[in-house]
Amino acid sequence: MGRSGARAVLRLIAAQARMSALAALQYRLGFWTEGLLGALWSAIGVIPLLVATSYQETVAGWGPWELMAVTGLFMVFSGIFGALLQPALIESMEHIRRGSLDALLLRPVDALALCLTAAFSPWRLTEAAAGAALLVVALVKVGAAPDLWMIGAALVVIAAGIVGLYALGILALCASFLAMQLQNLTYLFDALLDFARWPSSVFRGPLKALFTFVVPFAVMTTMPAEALLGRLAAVDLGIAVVVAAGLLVIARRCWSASLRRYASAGG
Amino acid sequence: MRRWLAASAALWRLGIAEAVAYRTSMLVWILTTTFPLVSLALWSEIARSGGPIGAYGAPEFVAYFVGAFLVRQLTASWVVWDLERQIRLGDLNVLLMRPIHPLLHHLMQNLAALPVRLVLAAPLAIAVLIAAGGATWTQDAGALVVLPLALIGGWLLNFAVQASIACLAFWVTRSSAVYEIWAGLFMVLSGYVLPTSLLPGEVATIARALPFHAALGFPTELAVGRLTSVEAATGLAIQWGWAAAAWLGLVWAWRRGVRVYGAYGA
Amino acid sequence: MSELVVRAEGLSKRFTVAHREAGLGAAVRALFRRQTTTVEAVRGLSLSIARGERVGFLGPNGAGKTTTLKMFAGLLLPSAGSVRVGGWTPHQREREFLRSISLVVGQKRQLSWDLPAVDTFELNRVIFEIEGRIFKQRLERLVSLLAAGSIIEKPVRQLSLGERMKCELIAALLHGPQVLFLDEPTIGMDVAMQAAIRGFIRTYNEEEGATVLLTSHYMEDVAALCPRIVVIDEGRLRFDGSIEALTREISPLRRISVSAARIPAAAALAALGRVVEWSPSRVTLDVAPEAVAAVVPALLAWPESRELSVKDAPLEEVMRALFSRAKTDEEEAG
Repeated sequence: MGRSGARAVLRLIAAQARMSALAALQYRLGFWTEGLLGALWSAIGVIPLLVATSYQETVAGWGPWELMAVTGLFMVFSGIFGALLQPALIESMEHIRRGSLDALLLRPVDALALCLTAAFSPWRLTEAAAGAALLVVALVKVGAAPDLWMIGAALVVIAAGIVGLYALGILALCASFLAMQLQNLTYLFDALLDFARWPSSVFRGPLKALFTFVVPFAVMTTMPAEALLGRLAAVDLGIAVVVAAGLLVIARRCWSASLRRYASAGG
Repeated sequence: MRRWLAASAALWRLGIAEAVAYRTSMLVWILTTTFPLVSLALWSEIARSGGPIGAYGAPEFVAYFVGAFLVRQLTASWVVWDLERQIRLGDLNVLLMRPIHPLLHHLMQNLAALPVRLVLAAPLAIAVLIAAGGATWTQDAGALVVLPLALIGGWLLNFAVQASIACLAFWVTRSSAVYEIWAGLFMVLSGYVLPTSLLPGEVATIARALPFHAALGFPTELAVGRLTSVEAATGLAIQWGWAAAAWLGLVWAWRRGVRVYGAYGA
Repeated sequence: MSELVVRAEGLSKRFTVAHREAGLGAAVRALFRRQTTTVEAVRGLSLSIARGERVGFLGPNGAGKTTTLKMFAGLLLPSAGSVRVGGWTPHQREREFLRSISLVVGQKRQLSWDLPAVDTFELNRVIFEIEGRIFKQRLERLVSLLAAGSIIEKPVRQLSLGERMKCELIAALLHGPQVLFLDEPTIGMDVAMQAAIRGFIRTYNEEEGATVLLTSHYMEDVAALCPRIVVIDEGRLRFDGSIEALTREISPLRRISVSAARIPAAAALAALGRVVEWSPSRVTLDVAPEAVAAVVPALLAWPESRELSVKDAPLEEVMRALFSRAKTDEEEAG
């Protein structure tokens, strides 16, 4: 994709965002449910951990406010997923189901970019903003003083987490090309995301490997928190970047294969 | 009455056929309800490393969360999505043109999927039990008699709450957003992510009187043998009370709603 | 005249719809206060239909045709006025009423998507309490009339639009409804399939003596099928009568075409009527009805004059004229 291609994608995102924002404002309930309550529910998810810390001092090595920092990061990712990725996936799958994807593919812009910007739910960004605020408060309470290196490492891991999130989303989209019945994978994804609420150290064995390498929730929430608290090992930083890059390559391959399959099936 | 039974049976047969046709997608839906199994990993790990939490040690957590997972499958309903969509898009017309009540259609659809759902979910539960080294269930004869009633009550409660919320679509767009509120409270207060008895003091007392706990936590605790017979009887009374209230609400909302129904689309 | 099946008096339906102006500012304001308007979809409609009639509802989009049909079927509660269908009040949705009518909507389906249509037929057998023997007879008859032999055993999702409509019609008619409401039944279909569906509806009406009410965008649907036309526009009854009467009322001119060895120049023909088409060998004129008797001999007197035809104006043009006139009336009144 050349420079003009990149600009076209940006223009496209801006146009789609405007449309979605107007559509979202149509639904007044959305402001209260998706926006404010969404953030609240997200935060409420920390209750089990707080209950655990009322019985024990730390949970798998994490104190109460450290857990809050993880929760803040979880809300950031949950908000990004709910606002940007999930609506786009649902809309694209709807296109596949109704057979209106053809019209989308005929537009002179990268098809994947079109699918990933097909819709967005602005209200859910409230949750991401609230999460960022919670993260800052938690870090202050813990007394963490991250230096530039730590912040830089955290940003790298967060970026890797977002790449991983999108790669998984693309894979779900590919699966829905394969079988209509797999369209609810995005809800499965939504449910799985809840596992990112907890520091990955509470999981052992196969679950820990699963959440680090296959569905890298650890990369999204635990590792950035560790980076900000000054506990992230350099090797983990490397793992995060490699896992995200690997997932992205796999997702892009699957996407090309799915499109070819779709084109040769003739609609 | 015979007419009604025959219609229910026919709807049930069609529902089974549909559930079998949609088995792949149902499997994915079941996987979205595996949260208790991961709660299990979390809590049993905490209990193993730091000692029991309240009245729960690691084996008790295993039994509780596998039970919660199965109860969730047995009392599952998704009428809120179907009915809301039908009202919003006008697809309810089809059901309204039939000489049976549209809610009977949804009841049987939800009921018909249960066996298929259980067949798909059981291997998962068994695998977890084997991995966790088994668990104990209630041996109490009284609890075993009450358990089916508790499961039916939980199912009726879930169905009526969902259908009532869906009926809001007669008046407002996107009533399923309201369901998100219910679902959010359900997460924390039903015993889905932690047994409600572990909540701090008064919060636990209040939570255990609410419909969320009645729908999931109560039948689960009954199944794993954590309730005395008095507690079981009280729990059942509370549960059926909530179910009755939810059904009254549903009947009221339905009657009012059909009168303002816009029969949109087409 | 036989008994009345549908009797509507002063039937009205009002909807409240939310709306807002374009732009972000208006959208934010709408968050706190929603603007609504009342739309009068049907206004004071009175209409009687006798048993066994085939009646076509014509009108532009949003004219109120479908709303009227839905009130007749009991899906919508009228805001004012009354309607009786087969002696029942539709909105009370009594069991016997629902067993005696059927509604087919072109874009909606009652068939289960991933199952063969026969499964839904079987469900309807029980729900509508159709006796086993009658069910079998009717199914065989409907399947043969629609030539739907193998398609009823395939999952519905694999069927074409036309095949799906055939199955929808079977599902809708298995209980032998005495009143059949059809809302755009041929929408999106090719010409051959439209003709097949039309032929089938006519046969059903004639054999069962059922009353048929149909809305359609396609003039041919209505013209080919319905001896009686009801035109609705902006919720009001504009016309009720035969196609011929409608054509004459709206566009009284006759359209005369003739071929000849040499056609006079268009300007020279203006005295006879309005020239619609002109070529050196053939001409088409619109002529006032009272002038036809004088114009025809004049045309026949041309050298080698042949293939003379006198017709009403085409229905599409009639409709266009009707709706544009309705608009003008409105503007004058307002």
